[in-house]
Amino acid sequence: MRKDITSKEYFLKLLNEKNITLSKEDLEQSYLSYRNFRRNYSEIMNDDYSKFEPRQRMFDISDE
Amino acid sequence: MMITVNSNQGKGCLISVMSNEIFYKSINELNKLYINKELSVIEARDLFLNHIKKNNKKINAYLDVYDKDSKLDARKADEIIKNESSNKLTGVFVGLKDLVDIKDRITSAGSKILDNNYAKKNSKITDDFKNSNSVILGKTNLVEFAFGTLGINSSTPTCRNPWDKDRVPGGSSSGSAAAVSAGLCTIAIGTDTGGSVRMPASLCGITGFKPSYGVVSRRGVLDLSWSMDHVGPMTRSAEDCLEVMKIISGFDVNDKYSFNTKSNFFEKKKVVRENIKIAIPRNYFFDDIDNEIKESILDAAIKFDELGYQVEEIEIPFVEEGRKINVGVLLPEALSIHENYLKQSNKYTKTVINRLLGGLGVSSEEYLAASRKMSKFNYEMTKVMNNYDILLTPTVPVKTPLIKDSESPNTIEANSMGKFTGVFNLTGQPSISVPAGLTKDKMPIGLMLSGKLMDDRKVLDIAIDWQNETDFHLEKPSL
Repeated sequence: MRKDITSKEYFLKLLNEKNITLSKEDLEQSYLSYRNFRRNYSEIMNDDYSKFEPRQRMFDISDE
Repeated sequence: MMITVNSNQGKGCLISVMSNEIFYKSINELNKLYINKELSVIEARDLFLNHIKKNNKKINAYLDVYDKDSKLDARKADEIIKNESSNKLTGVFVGLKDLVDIKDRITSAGSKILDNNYAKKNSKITDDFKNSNSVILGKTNLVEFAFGTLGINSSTPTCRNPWDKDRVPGGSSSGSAAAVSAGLCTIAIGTDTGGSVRMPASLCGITGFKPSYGVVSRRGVLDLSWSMDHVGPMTRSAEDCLEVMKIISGFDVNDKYSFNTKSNFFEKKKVVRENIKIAIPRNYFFDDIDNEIKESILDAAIKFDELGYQVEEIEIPFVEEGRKINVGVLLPEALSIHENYLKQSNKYTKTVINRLLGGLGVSSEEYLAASRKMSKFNYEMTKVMNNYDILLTPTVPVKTPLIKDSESPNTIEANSMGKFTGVFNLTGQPSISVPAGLTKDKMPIGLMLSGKLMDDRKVLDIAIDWQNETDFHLEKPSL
């Protein structure tokens, strides 16, 4: 519960920094999106991708 | 039904064509009519314009229709055909998603923020169509800034699905799909960052092709996410997609992401069905999916097997990671592109601003982690595709929702619609959605065929083969 409140306060701070004011309904919807994306990134950060450079699509796997 | 057309070339003439047929002619069929002098481009253009005037208000497929310019284009195309210097796209009718620049025309991106945004230059693909003397009929509707899966846009207003006008057309290239489906153009152009060509193609019962990343230049097309943006054709058939690709593909020195394809990239190679390996990934792509969609796609797999293709069921354990990587890369890139627009946050539609703001506060470490994980995902997919030519999957997991149930950015349908298509924006693989049947309530079902990176021609050839053996793509909505 405490973590949720902190997270929402941080989100409000990010909105304030951009001078964005939202209606109560929009705030709830965008905060819901924000929470989903936060969960998304915490899962991404937990993986091991150390052998890879960003955004590569082509690989030569002929020797593997 | 006989139609009288008053040509502006100074002679009225009577054309004996079925009114509905002309709007659904393929590129090759239109070419034959022109070359055999059974129909002029200006006559066909008048028919299309009347059809648009009559039907666009029912589905909101076009945001802007170019009455004068299309007349000039059509007259020029007739001259070119008369001089026997035409190509396949001469006199063919095109709708461009309103992210694509046409010089001195507004590119609105479906947003009030850009309602006065006149383009200074043509996009590369606009030039391709103009150099081919195609007839650009207008700009098509879209989700605001192409940021949404269902096709909802309260600014423009929302485009409607021609198969059931109470239902969404899919997004973000909603108007392009609806226009082709309703016969309001022969070719439409869409963009695809997480499935925005293929999802609306599936929901509107047409064919939509996302080429390999970098094969079509994005110069002059507004970005959503530079790592995953693609431009692709939306047409009635895969054969027509191929004809468009022959013209709009190719290296563009002014697009840093453009790929230098060989000149024979779209050269015909014979499809030997027995030599083609099709994999059906049974995990992820068939989890939490509507039953009618699942049955249609598995029926399609059986049909491919009966046709002689090698069909095999596989598991791709890592694929479920794709969705979060897709979003993890897209959101920070989209926010970066929107940095200046956010000063006018009150002008955004609710569905877009509420999703976009969810990406606030992403750190550089998080963005780079998502970008590196994207590479790891692509490496794993390269290993899978080393053994197969095609992945056969549904295009979308859910049935087409009603517009009235789709206003929130966080509905189940909005969140799951791009679950399958987005995988191939990460990898950049060529991927096509083709019609594969209708649900019991007569809404189209899409089948997705995705090939090896840079194996675009093979994907198109297999889709053409599918459409030679089936007639799902010939179904039309009644307007």
